[in-house]
Amino acid sequence: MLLEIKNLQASINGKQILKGVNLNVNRGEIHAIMGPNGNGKSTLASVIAGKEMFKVDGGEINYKGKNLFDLKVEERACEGIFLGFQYPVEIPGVSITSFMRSAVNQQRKYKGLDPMDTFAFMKYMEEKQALVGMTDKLANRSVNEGFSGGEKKKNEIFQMAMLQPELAILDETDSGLDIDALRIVAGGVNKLANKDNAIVVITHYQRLLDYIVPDFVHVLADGRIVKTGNKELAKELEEKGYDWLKDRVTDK
Amino acid sequence: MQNNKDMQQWAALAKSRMPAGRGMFLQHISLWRELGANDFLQRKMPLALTVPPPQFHCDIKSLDTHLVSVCNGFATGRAGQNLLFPEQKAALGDKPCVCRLSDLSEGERNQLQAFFAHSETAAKQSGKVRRTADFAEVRCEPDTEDFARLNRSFTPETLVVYLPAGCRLDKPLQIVNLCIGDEALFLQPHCLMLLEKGASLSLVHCTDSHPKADILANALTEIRLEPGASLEYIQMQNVGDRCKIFHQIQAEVLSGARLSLHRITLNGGITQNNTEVNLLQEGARAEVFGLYLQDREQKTDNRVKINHIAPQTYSRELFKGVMDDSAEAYFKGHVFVSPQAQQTEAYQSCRNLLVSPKAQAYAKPYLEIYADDVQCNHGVTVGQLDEDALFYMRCRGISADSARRLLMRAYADEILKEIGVEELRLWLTSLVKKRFSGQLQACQECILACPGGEC
Repeated sequence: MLLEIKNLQASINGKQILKGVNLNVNRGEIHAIMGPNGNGKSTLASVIAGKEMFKVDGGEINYKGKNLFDLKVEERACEGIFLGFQYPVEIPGVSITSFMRSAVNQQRKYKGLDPMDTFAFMKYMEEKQALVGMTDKLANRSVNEGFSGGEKKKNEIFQMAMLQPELAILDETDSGLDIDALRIVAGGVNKLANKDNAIVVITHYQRLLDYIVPDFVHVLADGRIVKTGNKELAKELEEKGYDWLKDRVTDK
Repeated sequence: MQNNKDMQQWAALAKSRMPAGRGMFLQHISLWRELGANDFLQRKMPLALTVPPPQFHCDIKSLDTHLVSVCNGFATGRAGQNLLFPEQKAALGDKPCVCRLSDLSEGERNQLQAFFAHSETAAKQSGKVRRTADFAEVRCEPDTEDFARLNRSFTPETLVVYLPAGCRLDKPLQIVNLCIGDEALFLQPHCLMLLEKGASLSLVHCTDSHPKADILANALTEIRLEPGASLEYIQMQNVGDRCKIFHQIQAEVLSGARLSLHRITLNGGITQNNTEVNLLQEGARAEVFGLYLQDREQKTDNRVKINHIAPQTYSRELFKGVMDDSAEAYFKGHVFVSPQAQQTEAYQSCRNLLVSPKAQAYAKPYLEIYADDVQCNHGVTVGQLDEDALFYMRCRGISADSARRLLMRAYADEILKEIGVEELRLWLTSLVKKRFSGQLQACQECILACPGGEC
């Protein structure tokens, strides 16, 4: 199993957000996590990535058989975890090229590989740019600085293509995208999905799941996964909303 | 130096002028304090170049420059020689010339000093002025003028940089100021730069020392740009932590002339960069950039005074600093716009990045405007590294240390990208990169770099 989350509880500033999440992800699978705002979807992604502001109060996460909490943020990335940010950060003065070269080469170093030379790197980068239709002009700009919402999300998928993660968690990658951008972004994700990696998409809307077809759909409400189903569940949610599920939680 | 009556008098004067109490700006870094210190009179003032140092190169393989070496304030090279073209004699003729002032004929010396004579008039008046506006009218502040007088009166050697009308060198000029010696020294390097009408020069001026050198320097550079002249002047310190460098630059810019000054502090115990620019005629322009990278217990102080005396003059200041460990940085900028200086543009900005909880930065922007048709702004900031950006970078596998360095370099780049000559910009970028990764003790190709790690 690639990722195994058992009874995960986490809080921020003393407020409990995750109240016992259980989730198993295998290689070759695409999972979608849906649910109302403010119920812990992004917190779950942040805890997996290692954001320090969240406190883990209990439970465990095993990733490739290792205790994830033993690894630093950058080690998790080097071990193949990729978080696509809901709000990608602007880094003035650092070009996408030098950012990606640092990232690729530091990940290679972690794996005991030699750094990629400039020529090979540029060629590799061109190839991945094409995948998401990113222009050279954009690639030479500072990371996310002054990018439109669509450009930022494209840049996330581009980085995912560059780093070839084993587990990609895409946090609301569809938010702020028009339909054309959504197609490009989803198309990129589909090209990157294969039998050796797993993708977890966090989304509000069923819309994205027309393009990225999940094997499993989970509903995260009030800090727990309250229902798991197949892609039909997403459609049901689109029709009925989340309220009927919330009631089920209280019934329990 | 104990027997030197003049210096005894200066030391006594300094004791009476040493800042008392603890204010935010003047008090922490003061040449008066250094001159009044008990060990000041123990310092030696080298009176001549005793052992000529071997020819050396700065850490610049790719950089092709006209190199002039100065050792403890004395230029190396034969007497009477034009240091730029060794086969020529020193002269203020139709050829560019770098030489000692003493190598010029008496007539030429007088001719040259006439260009810079204003400062003495100003000094005479300095006793009378009280209000800040008046300081600007006479174009000097009392303290800095005292230090300039100290330098002019006792400098053992003045270096002259002269470009005749319309002259442009085929490659940048590099002056390497090397401070060496096992004893504590007091140095007073002095430099006069005159660019005649339409002349143009790129100059990189480095001050380097042995990492363990103990130097106190009161350096003065006087610049005069005649109409239409253009000077890009990159002034850089990379000296040991025991060195205290006070370097004053005074510039006069005439009509349509353009000064681009970069003050870059890579390393040094105490560094004070004083800059005074006088925009004396219409269309004069000055850009003053500063970059200071400090760590350990280092202290740096940048003071900039820009006087807009004539209409349609332009100035821009951008200073940026990165402070680590317990480093302290001070910035004081003062833009003065005289009543005649209509249609002036003046922009002033200082930004500081504190990367350790103990680092400190103080900045004081100041505009004094007596004309009504002007465009001016000012601003200062003191901030920390962006935690969100660090997390974002770490999420891509970049270690926390590398991420910090990438962000700091990006921060410094904004200053470096203003350097016009590409090879100088690339060279400085690589020095800054080394500085952040802790590899910059001394420039590595320099004779000062200790072979075999012996220090």
